[in-house]
Amino acid sequence: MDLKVFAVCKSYGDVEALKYVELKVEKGEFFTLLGPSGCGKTTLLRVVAGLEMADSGMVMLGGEAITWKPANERPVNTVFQSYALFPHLTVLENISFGLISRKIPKAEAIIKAKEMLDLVQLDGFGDRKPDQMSGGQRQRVALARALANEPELLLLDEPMSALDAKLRVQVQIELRQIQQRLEKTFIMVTHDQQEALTVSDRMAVMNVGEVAQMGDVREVYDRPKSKFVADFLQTQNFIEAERVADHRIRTTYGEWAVTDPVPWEKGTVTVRPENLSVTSDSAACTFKGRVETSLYRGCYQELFLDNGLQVETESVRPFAKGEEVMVNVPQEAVVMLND
Amino acid sequence: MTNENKNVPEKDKPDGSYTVFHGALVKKKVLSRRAFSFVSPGFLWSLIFLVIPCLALFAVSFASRGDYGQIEWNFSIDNMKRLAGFGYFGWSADNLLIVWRSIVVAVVTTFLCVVLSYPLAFFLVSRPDKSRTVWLTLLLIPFWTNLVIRTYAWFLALAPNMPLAKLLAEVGAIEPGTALYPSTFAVYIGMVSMFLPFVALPLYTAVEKMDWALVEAARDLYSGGWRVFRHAILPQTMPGLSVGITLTLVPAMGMFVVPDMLGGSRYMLIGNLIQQQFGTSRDWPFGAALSLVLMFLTLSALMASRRHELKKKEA
Repeated sequence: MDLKVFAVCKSYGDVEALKYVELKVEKGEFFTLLGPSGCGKTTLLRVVAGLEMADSGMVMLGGEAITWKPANERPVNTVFQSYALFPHLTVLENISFGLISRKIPKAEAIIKAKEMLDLVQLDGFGDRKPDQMSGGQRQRVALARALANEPELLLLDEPMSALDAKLRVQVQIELRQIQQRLEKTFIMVTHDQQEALTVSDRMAVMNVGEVAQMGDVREVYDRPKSKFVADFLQTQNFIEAERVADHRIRTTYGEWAVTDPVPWEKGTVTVRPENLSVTSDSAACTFKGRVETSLYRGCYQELFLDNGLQVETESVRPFAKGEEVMVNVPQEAVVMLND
Repeated sequence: MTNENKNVPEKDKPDGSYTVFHGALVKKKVLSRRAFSFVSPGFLWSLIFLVIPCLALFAVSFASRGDYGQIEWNFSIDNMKRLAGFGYFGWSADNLLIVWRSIVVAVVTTFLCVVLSYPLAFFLVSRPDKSRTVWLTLLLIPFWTNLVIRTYAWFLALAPNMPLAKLLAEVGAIEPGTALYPSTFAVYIGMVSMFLPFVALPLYTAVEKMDWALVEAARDLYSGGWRVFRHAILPQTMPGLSVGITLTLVPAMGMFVVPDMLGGSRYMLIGNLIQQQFGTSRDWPFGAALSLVLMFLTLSALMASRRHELKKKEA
């Protein structure tokens, strides 16, 4: 089912965690709430789960208002950050917990739970206790436990924060595959932009209780609208610019042609370091700079130039300090910011 | 250079009789001597003042009472027979009833304390830090008050001209002008107010450390109130609860001051009976036999709960 959130506010004492948040998640979509810690993303998820009540506003699931419904009456299940598995129950009992709560016959619940174990590739682990399993396995049990209830909406609260980097990538892929197979609506909270980009169809970047930008992951990544979003998605280079013509701006690095229309007389543009390239062709040179620091990152290297810009380039050869490089700025890589 | 650096620690390297104890270099012998000297005072104390008296009790229980209340060392099991109800005038269930009543009082007191302590523990945990200290102090004040004084305070509170008795008389539950003691009700009031902190405090510490995500998970998985308690709260608070139950059940079984004062002569418990034997009746051997029964009861209860825990751990 689709989820709509209208003007939801929530405050704890003087702290406003959510300020008139609007959200729309389509059916069958993998949606991610992305933001730094304290931006209200987890609070929003908890409001949707029914673990927290909104002070005002409305939450609608499939056309039905669920704003004031308690968690145990919502067709929504959550994968908790700490997994919150019941330590005194076996894996199978954990997974069938929700089904038993809803008075589904035990035999039927066990069959369903085994099916779920299969789905998360843990068949044969049913009789173990959670403390006999690794972090990654526990995470799968938590996922299976939530999915066993066939929720209309699955919520994931930083589900991979306790996993190490390598395992995280694997789980991301699996999570995406499971979501696509089940065609369910998933909403995930994370502070890791890489994770958000990998798994989701659409995402909302949040900042101090507000949705800063929402849209298709590619769109948000390629065309951030504000300094906050651009910075959070690591664009690095912020350049003051003036409008010269419709598709032409003037910066301290010279006059640049740009693809996007220029919306202001004076403002800021941003360019991702990976979209800039070092060139030996003087015709393609947009500006020149001297290398101040170069960092080797394996498959690429980062150059910090003396003019304050940052360039990512292939690791074909090392750059010496003080070496002059010619940098090409592609027209379409320049993004206009609205603030 | 390197040789010099290497040589110095090599010379000073301690032999095998040394060990590192929390970062300090200590001789193994000294360490074990120190450990022994730390342990032995307490060990000696309990040997002299607990084990030996218990053995004496055991020995005395097989003696019999002389005509003037002295102990006569003739081996007999008359005390055990008497306990089981075989007296001079045939069999009577009186003594066994007293034992049974003691068990009931202890179990009911513990149950009431547990039922009252859960809401209390959650209430305490949900208080902001500042007022929590005040509430905890209020809970602890009875601890700092003498038991006899506390029980006399209940005399006052339950007296005929006090609001509670007046209210009950007004409703018609009791005759006007009568006190609420001695009665079963008064005994339980006294017992619960005596033992409540013993359950409430360990439970409070357990609830304070509780992981609320489990409660949320249970809610999220469509649980009602009982299921949330059974699977999210009870397993997490079990350590505190079992400490509380042990601290209440064992002493409550042998309690005699409270039932004596608030229950009157009709409310005889094993504690009162023992006290009577060592006091007015001057029948130490029978008192010793009764004490052994009490010890056996409490120890078997403890063993049972311990075995239950061990089994759970194995599984």
